[in-house]
Amino acid sequence: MQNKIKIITLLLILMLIVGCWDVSEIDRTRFPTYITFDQKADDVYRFSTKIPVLKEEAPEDVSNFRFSGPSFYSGFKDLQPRVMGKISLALLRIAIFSEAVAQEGLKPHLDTFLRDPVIPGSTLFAITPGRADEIIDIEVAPTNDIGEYLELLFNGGTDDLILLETTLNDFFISLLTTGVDPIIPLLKYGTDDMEVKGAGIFQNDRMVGQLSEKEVRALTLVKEKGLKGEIEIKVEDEIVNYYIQNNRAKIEPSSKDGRLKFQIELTLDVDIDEDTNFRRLIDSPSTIERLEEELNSNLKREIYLLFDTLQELKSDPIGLGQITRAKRFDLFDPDEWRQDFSRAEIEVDINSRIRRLGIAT
Amino acid sequence: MELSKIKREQISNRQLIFIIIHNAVGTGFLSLPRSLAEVAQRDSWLPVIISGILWSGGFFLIYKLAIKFPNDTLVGYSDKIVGPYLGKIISLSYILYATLVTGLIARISMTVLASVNLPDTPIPVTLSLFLFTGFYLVSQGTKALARLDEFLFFGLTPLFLVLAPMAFNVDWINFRPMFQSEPLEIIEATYLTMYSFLAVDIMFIIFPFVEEQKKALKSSLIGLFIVTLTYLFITVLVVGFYGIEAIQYITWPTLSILKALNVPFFGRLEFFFFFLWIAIAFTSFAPYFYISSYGLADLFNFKHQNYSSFILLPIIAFVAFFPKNLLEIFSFMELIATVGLALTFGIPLLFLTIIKLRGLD
Repeated sequence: MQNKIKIITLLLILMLIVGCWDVSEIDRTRFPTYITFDQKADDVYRFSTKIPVLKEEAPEDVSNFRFSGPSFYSGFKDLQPRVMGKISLALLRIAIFSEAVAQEGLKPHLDTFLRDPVIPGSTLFAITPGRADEIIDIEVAPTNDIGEYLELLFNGGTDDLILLETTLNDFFISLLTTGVDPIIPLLKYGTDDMEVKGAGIFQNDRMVGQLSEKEVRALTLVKEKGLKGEIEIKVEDEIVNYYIQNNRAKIEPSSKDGRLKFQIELTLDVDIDEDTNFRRLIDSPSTIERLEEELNSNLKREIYLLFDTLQELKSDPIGLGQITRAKRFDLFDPDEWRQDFSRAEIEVDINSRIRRLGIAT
Repeated sequence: MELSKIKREQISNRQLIFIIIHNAVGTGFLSLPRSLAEVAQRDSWLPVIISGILWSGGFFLIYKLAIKFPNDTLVGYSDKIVGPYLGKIISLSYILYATLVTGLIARISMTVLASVNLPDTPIPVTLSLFLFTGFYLVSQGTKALARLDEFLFFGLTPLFLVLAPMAFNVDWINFRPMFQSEPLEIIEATYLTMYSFLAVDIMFIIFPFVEEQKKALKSSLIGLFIVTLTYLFITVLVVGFYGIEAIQYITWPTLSILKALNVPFFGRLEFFFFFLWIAIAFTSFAPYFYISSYGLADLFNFKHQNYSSFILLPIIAFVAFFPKNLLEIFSFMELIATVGLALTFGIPLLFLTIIKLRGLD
């Protein structure tokens, strides 16, 4: 028994060295953490990346590269001889596509990402409205590693409502699944920072439109569950900040007069983080009720606006098609889905419950 | 067979459970969810359960046959039942089948290893290591095989703990609506799943060495139950994550699913999984090598099993190199597995009928 324990312990320790590289291999390998995609000319793309330099005596901490080719892999092959050491995409954190590339379709760029076993499926996707390779000129204060910075921007924030996150796997699955369309966050470059501002929505692999931050918030509230984040609403010319502690959406498809109808019931648990009116809430159920109603009506308006945009663009990133197929198989026609979705009637009902008021008022 | 040899090589009923588990769970589960989703679609979990039930019938048949000849392997009792000529042809067919399976398992393992982890290592190098380790294990006899399987069962359990976090990413909507597949599709998917359970046939060779033969059926069924649960877990996890459409584009979905996770400290889980999987593939390969080697030694009355193992080594290597590419590997495996199914169900049924007719009870 003692021997068995010893061998199991040894095996577990051995597990820790799996995937380890020898010292010289690490020195010889370069790990870019982001890649950008731009349209250069017809059928030619321009890519850019930043590769950290690990040598202490090197004059720069990072090397910037722009490279081009008819496909990502072709360009990547041309980049390799320009780089000291072998490039590995094992630590790739984010791929940023220009809006023009996204509008043309992302499928051609996806193949290498899926085929190469070292590229993580958790690689984030983002779209930027202008030229994606302008990222090279941005010097963010906290780090030289833009990939790490962006990963923390998406994952490290506390606001799930607007920080929509799309990974390589998410995009791949929604691209190939009938009844749901991909969605990718929009990234706007500043001079020394970057900001997530809305999202690009897709029909198959082509970007067909954009959602504002408020629309993204409405979308995540309907699509995801267990979210946390801030919502600011004007009540009687004063600002009230609500903090969503939890959300649950129930979506029921049905048919009405030959049209699809979706009944969306959204339940929210919220805290009051700020009320500039400075009113006393502790003994005032009617005020609490009022604040709940204000939140409900504001969010309801946002959700209707979201559906106006989605139905106009015939894009279904929420996956109402999948839900219809699962719950009412008889109402789901995969060939006519976009048409059915664009004509569907939407009914939203929101029930928010204020749980905590803070430690004063 | 000599009683002294049986005594020397005797394995416990507990070890029989582990041998059956390891023999069945090997390379098949890496691609099983894709094959199942292609045919049975959202009901892909159902054929796994049906296969488990059908294979328990296979165990019952082999047990009923083997218990009549408690000191003989298939090679021994086929001579007694159908005569020396036909008996030897049947034994030789079974040995040939086991040799082909050994070669193909080795090839699949090396192909996965080369595609995922060791792209620059020549396949002959990894294959040689695999074959010689197998040769060494087989030369140590039944007891060594049983001990290794028993030990590795506990060592390899973390493999499934590695997969467990993915359970949070299962989207149950991918299984709805249920029971929409045609009966023929379920039958075809069950047939495909039964390939992955091919392991039952080891009872043809190993039965005389089981300590308490009367309880062998119970032990085998416990092993089968664990195998069924493992396959069910993997199928639900992988199909639930990818959905039935996206999964069709992934060669080894059970490996790829781990690319989606980026776990703090561990980083890339798929490499931990891979480390453990190599041992799992080996424990699936070794019993078939053992079956063919032991069967050959028994058939030609070799004094030592090493001789037959040595003869089989180049044949297994040839079989491993025979398929040109992955498509050929899959189609050969399908063909061989069909033969395996026919032998596993056909031999006991035929022999039990002849025993009844000839009154050999």
